Amino acid sequence: MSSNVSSDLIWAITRNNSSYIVKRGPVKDQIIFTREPLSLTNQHTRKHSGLVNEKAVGVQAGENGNVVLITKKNAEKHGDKPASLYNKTTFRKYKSNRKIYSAIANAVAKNVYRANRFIGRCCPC
Amino acid sequence: MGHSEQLSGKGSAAEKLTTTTGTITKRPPIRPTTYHDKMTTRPTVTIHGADGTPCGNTATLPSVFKAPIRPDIVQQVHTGMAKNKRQPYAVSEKAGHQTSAESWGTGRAVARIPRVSGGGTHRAGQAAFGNQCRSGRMFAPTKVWRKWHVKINLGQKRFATASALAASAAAPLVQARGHRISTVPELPLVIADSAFADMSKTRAAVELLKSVGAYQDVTKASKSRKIRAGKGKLRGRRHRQRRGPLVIINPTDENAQSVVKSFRNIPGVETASVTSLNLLQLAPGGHLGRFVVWTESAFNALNTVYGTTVTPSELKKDYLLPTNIVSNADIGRLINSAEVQAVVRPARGGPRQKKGGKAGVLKKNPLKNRQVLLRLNPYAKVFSEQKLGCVKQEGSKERPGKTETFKTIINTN
Repeated sequence: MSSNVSSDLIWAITRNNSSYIVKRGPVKDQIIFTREPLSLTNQHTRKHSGLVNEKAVGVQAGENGNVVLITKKNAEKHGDKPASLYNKTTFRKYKSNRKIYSAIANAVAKNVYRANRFIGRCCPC
Repeated sequence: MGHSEQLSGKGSAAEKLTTTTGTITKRPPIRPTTYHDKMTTRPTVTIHGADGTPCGNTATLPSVFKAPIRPDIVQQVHTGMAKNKRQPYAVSEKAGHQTSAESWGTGRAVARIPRVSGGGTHRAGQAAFGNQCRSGRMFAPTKVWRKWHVKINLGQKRFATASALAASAAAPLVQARGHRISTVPELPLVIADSAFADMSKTRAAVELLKSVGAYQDVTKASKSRKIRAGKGKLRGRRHRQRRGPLVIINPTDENAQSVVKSFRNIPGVETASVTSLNLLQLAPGGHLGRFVVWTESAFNALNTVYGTTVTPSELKKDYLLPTNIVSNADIGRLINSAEVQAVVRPARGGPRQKKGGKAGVLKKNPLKNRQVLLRLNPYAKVFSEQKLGCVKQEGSKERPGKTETFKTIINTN
């Protein structure tokens, strides 16, 4: 990505206009959600936007009831390489929820990967 | 957060600024450099072969991809350009006026609207002309001399095109536009000329799109095909569907025509010539970030077509690419840079806040925050430790409800 693009700019552009936006409720107290895969709370905010932030975490339902953890790789190297930008880790559905929780927490928050965003949202620690 | 650390070190930085010159630049960056800081230069772009793997060659990133990304300009120009294909329409000049209606005037206990004269038919005596009347003329009948077209300044058009091109290289913007690019190896997606060398069949074009990971977007476009709502169905716009990849070719290539023909029957896919790019294709709907597939020769021709910020374009007269007003678009990085931090005032709500400092600090509620309470009222500690609030007051009277007289009265039948 060249010097004319930054997280701030991307947010300024995608804030009002993005294919992921989902608006709900009457206009006066409308809630804006996002369908981005890398958004833990599904809120359309700068903080939770997986497109905008250089580091982002997503937990998705995988095939056959598996759980897939998605994180962004080093954006410096992979920022504009969509095919190789994401790390995907699959957790088998036969694992107990508690184990999946802690595995995700170990993979993400305890490795100081968006720890501030992550703790308290998904993991029980 | 790291913010408070910056502030504590700021005093010394300011001193350095006054005492010695040049020290500011040597300060380590306050915030670790992030995503886009380090991405300020990416001189080369991988060229992909027909099988989707890097073919070994690279191309330098043309300057047009460093043009400022300005959604406002793109939107405005798009709005204008979209109007320039319109054809005039209007209702008939005579509609609603083809009758000799006259008002009956007052005294007939009906409204004074013109009424159709004569008798013998239902039409006689009916109101006419007015926009509120059945068979009347419409309000403010449309005219063919409406202002249909908009002049757009050439400089703005070129700015918008450059801007849209730059945005097509930013993966988040392409994704936000709705393109499916999760299997695309790199943006901008440049494909070697050899892959197009003897392309004459749509089958070959589809194979190519599949191997470079662009076919997901075609699938999306093809699945989105729906019958249009409304009268447009009857007017040659029966279906509506999403836009897929835009394949940009160089018209001077020998087989350019056959490449265009190979791609043109794939749903959602459009082709364009690098010398005459159209904003309506680069930013459909005025939304930045069209997914673009470049042929190698088209990509390499970009510097000829658009020039750079210092070298004029060869094909456009006296045209220089627009420059960015801010050379580093990462404003957060600029704010946190040593140079700016050295000269700003201390942030409010920093470490001084806890000491209950001056105005502007966050007020904390002493009734809820014990530390603040103790600062205001040191006696509160003793008061709560000795539970002075619960000690019975000496010499207090008996409570009215507990007297014997009260009980007897209340229990009397």
